[in-house]
Amino acid sequence: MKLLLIEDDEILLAQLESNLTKAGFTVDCCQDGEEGLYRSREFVYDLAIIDIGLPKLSGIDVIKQLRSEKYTHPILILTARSSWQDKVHGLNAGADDYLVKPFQFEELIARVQAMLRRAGGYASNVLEQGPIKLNIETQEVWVNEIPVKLTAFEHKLVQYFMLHPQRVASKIVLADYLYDEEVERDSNVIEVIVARLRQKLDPDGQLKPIETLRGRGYRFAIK
Amino acid sequence: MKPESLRKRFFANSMVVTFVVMLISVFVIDISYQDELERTARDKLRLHIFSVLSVAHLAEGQLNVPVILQNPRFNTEQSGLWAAILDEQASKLWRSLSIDELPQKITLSQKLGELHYDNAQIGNQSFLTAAYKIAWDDQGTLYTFHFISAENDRLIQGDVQRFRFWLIGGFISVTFILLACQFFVLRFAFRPIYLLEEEILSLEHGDKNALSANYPAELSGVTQNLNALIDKEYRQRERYRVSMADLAHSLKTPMAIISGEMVNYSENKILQDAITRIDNSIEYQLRRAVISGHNLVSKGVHIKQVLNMVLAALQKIYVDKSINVQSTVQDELVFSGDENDFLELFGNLLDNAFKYAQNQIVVNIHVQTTSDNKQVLEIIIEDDGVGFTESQSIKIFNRGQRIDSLGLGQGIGLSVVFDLVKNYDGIIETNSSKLGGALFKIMLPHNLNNIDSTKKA
Repeated sequence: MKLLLIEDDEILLAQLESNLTKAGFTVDCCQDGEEGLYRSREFVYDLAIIDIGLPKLSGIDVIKQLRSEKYTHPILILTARSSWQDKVHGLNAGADDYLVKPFQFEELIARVQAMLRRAGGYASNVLEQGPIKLNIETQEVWVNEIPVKLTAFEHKLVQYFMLHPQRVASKIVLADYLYDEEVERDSNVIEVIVARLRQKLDPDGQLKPIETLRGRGYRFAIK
Repeated sequence: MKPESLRKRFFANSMVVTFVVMLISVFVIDISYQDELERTARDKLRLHIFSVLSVAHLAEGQLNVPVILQNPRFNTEQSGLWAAILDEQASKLWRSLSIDELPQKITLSQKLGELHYDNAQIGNQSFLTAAYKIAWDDQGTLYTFHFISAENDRLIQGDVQRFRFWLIGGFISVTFILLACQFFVLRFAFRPIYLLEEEILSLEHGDKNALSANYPAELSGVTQNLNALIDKEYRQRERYRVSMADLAHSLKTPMAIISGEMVNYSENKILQDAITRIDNSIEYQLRRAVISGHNLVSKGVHIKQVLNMVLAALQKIYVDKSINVQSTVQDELVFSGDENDFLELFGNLLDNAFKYAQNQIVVNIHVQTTSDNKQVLEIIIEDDGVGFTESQSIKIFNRGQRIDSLGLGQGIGLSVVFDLVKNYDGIIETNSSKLGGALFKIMLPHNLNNIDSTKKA
C-alpha cells in the first residue's frame, strides 16, 4: 500500500516514515501543503495522512482542494488540536478519520488499515474474495481455510489485489506501489512475483484469480 | 426591585411637574380674577353713588332725591342693586325703590369724601356695600350725609363661578393635550434608545455582530465604545484560540515523537505512565482553556446546524458501527453562546454515545419552561449501550476517570463537558436510558425569550 505523508515536523515525519515502512507500507513524504497537493495530483496513493497545521497551505485547505477535484482516496488527518471544532471542520472538509497527537503508533496503523479496507468496500478486517481470505491486522492469508505463507512483496501484492478487485492494474502501477520512488524498477520482477503468487494462491490452477491482460497489466477477479 | 424604564420615569416626572404648574396657574389666575372682579364691582358702586349724588340736591336743609332714578335697576324690586341716603345720625333719609328695608348694620365711612366698602346682610342675602360721607353747605349750615350703594354678592359670585368653570375646563384640556404631546415627543426622542436596546438583543441573539453607526451624538459615544469593546473581546478570544492552538501544536508534536519512540521502550511502564499523565494534563488544560462560556456578545449558535455538523463527522468516524441516530431539534432554535463551545459539547457527548451505542442514539433538544417560569435549553442524549451504575455516574465527570477501557478517547471529554456546562450556569445529569444505555441531560439557561417579548412591545 502506498501512502502519502504530509507533516511539517521533520523528526516526527522521519519517525513515522520509518515506522510505516517497517509496517509494510510504501511511504512518500513531504513537509508542506503545496507540495502535498502537487504530489496527490501527480501520483496515485492509496491513502493520505495529512497534518492540519502545515506551512504554505493548511491541511484543511489541501483536503478541500483535493475533494473539490474529485479525489476519492481516503484521507486521515493528524492534529495537535483536539478541539471538536478542528475535528468537525477537518472531517466535514473531506477527511475520513482523524488522529490527535500524540498517538500510539499501533493506533495509526489500525486506523490506516480500517480506512483502506473500507475504501476497498470491506466491512471487517478480514478481506474475502471467494476462497481467498486476508486479515489486514494479522497479515495472514488463507486459501480454503488453509494458511498460506507469503513473502513481504507477495503479501503487498495480494493485499493490493484484494483491495482493488475487478480493476486493471498496469505493471507500472504495481511497481510504483511495491517500491519506493528511488528504487529502480524492473517490470520482470512484477511478472515473477505474480507468477509465484498464482502458484501459492491457486496451486491446482482451478481458481485463476489473476488474469493477465496483454499490454495492459493484471486484473484480480474471482469468478 | 427593577427600576422603571427611562421613558416611564421621564413621563411620570413630567406629568407631576405639568400638574403642579397647571394647579398653581389655576390658583393664581382665579385669585387675580376675583380680585379684579371685586375691584370692578367697587368701581361700579362708586359710580352708582355718584349718579345718585348728581340727582340729589339740597334746598333749605332738605335733601331732595327723585323717586325714579335713571338706572332702571334702582326702580325694580329685587334687582339686587340698591341705593340709600342716611343723615349724620344714620337715620334713613331716602332709599331706592329696589329695596324695602335697609340692612340692620351698615358700615359707614368715618371721614368726609372717603369711600368705605364692606359687606352687609339682608335676610340671607349678602351685599357688597359702598358708603360715602359728604358734607354740603346750605346758607352757612353744614349738612352731613351718608350715600350708600350696594349690589347683591350673588351676582358678582355668579360671574366667578362661570369663570372658574371655563378656567378649570380649559386647564384640564390643556393639561391632557400637553401630556399627550409629551408622550409622543418622548416616544420619538427615545427611539434611538429603543433601537439600541433592540440592536443589543440582536447582538446577543447573533443576528448582528456590531451596532449600527447612525446614533444621535449623546449615544454615539456609548455605541462606538461598545462596538470597540465587542471587537476587542472577539479579537482577544480569537488570538487566545490561535495561541492555544499554537501551544497545542508545539507541545503535542514532540509528544507524538516521544510516544513514537516509546515503541522501543515498551517494557518501561513508569515512563509510559508519566508520558500518559503529561499528555492527559496538556490535553485537559488546552481543551478547557478554549471554552469561552458566556461572552459579552456571542454569535448565536444555530443548534440544529451545529448538531448536524457533529453528527456528519461522527458518522464518518464510526462508519463501521452503522448507528441509527434519531434527532429531534426545532429548525430555528438559536442559542446565544459560542459555536465552538457547542461543537465541543455535542462532540464529546455524542462521541461517547457513538463509542458505547450498539446501534441506536436518540437526541432530543428543546426549550423548556421550568417551574419558576424560566426558559431552559434542554439537551438529552441517550444510547443503547451498556449504560452505567450510580457510582459510575458520579465518577464520570472526574477528570481522566474512564468507566472502562473501551474506545480510544482520552477520557477527558466528559470533564470538558462538565466545565462547559458550569461556565454556562447550566446543570448536567446522568441517568439510565429507556434504550438500555446511558442518558445525559443538560439544561442551559435560555434567554431568547427576552428578545421575543421586547420585539412585541
